[in-house]
Amino acid sequence: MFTDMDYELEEDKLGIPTVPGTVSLKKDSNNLIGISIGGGAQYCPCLYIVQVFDNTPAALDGTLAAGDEITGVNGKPVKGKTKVEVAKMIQAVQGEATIHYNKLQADPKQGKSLDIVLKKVKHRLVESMSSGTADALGLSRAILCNDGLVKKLEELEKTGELYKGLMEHTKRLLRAFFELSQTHRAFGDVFSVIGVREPQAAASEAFVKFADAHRNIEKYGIRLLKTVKPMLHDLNTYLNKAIPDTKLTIRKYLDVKFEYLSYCLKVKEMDDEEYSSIAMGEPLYRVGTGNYEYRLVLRCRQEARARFAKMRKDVLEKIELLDQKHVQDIVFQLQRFVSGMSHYYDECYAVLKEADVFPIEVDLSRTTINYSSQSLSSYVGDEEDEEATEEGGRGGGEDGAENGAEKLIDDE
Amino acid sequence: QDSSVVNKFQQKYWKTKQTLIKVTGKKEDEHVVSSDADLDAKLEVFHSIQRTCMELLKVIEQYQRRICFLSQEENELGRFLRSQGSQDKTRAGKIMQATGKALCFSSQQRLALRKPLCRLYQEVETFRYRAISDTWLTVNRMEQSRTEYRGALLWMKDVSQELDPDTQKQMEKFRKVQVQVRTTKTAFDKLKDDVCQKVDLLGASRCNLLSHVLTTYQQIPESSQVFLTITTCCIF
Repeated sequence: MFTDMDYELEEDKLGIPTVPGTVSLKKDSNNLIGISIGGGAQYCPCLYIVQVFDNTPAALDGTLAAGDEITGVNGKPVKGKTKVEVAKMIQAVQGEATIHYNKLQADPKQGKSLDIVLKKVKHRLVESMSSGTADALGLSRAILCNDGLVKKLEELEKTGELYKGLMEHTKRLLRAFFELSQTHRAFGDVFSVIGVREPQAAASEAFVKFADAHRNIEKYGIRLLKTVKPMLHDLNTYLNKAIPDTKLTIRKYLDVKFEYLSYCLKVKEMDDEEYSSIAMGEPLYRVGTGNYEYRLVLRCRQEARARFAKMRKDVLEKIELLDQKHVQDIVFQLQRFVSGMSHYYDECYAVLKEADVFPIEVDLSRTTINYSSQSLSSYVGDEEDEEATEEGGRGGGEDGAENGAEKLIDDE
Repeated sequence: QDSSVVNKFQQKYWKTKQTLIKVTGKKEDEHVVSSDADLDAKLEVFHSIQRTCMELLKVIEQYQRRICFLSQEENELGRFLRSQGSQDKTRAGKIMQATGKALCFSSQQRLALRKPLCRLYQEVETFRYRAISDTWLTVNRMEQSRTEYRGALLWMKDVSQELDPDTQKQMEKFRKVQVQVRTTKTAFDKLKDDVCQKVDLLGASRCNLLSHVLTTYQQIPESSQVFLTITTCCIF
């Protein structure tokens, strides 16, 4: 009775063209060609491929795809057979199996319905919330949600933090270092002035040497800053170029992943719908007309899966590269930093050691004696001048007033 | 010594006149100025000492502050590197920890320089408060006396210009002024001597002070050795 009813309905292809063809597949060691099939008697007029498994003869051959209708096996038509019977037929074939098929020329855009878009949004939301929240809301997380890449992303996030921190700390350190260098210079300058004005030759020389040492330290400091400064730029490139770039790739990957998950979910829903309608004894229209809608989704799922796999490989490679670069980078930057510092300290040490001028012998007696005799003589001279003024024989050394006095005394 | 009110008033007048000349920066008699050349040179030395001590204090304070600041930054970067390095199992982690350790050590070493700097600051500060201000007082007294002396000279110049030797009264006035010149000169010369001596001593004692404190400053071990060991430790 059912069979009669089934064949009353015409196939409804939803405007999707099909192209007939034949392919021969050599079976693998497990006697499999690597496809799973669905549909067939007694509810569906078509028998179609549900999935093509990875690394199997069918997948390697690439002719068959999910959603294609199987019309015959080794020349025998499969019309009216159940999927179990057809599976047995394929199993019974030895060596090479010839599959006659009707290829579904599906347009993937047709399969990407509003339903899929909504499912993608849902996946995105579930992914961004913690597992506890998702469970509480009754949203099940797809199995693929928690994959290694998410962990990688976290690591990347942490590396980003490391770079950010490193950059900020280094920036502040370099600033402080620059300021200290400026102070070294100022310190040197003060001693240079002290040295230049110092009347004692030995002390003067010592101070000038000490001053020069500090000025040199400043020079070394500036040179160090010049060597270490590119570090900031490099860290910045990593932080603001490499990491966001990888994040973008990951986001694209997630998009593809969610699309794939949505198709998986859709397939599951359609399966459930089919089973429940059969259980209720009311076969679905779409099943009775060749299940083209379902097959379209199957095809879309397969394509989404291929994109997802490729993307995943890309992202993993990219992250791997970034990781390697991160290690190399950090090692290189820190080596540059440390060797710069080390060089700086060596130079400072050498220059300070050379300028080890203290303690200075202060020879006070010489200047003092010098001064005393000088001032004494001038003092005596003044006395004589005074005397001379008294006598009227002043040497005219002082000024007009004295000259006036001279005149006067001459007169006297 | 004539100590009449008139005389005192006149003295005051000429002193004020000299002060005015000095303050307004009018040209003084070049012979008078040149006779004080060595004193002025000493004063220049004194002012230089005064100035450089002030600057030195300022710079030391800044130096100290910046050492602290750099030490703090070094310590922070060091700690950051150590904590990040401990979570990283790669070669980068190892080098981060080594660098972090070196930075932490260096930040502590750096602080050692503060002690002699502190000491230098205190000594220079004391020097400024005691020695410099004492000399400054003497210099001020000397300047007062110089003004008085130069005022007297001005007075004498004035008197001698309208001097008529035949007039006994004028002659007497001249002698009076002459006495005034001589007394102020004696006072001025003594103070001049004092100032020169004090400035010399000041310079010498500052030399001593700096020499003494800076010896410890230079003995502070450099962190260079630490960095050197780390540099060699990290496999280049």
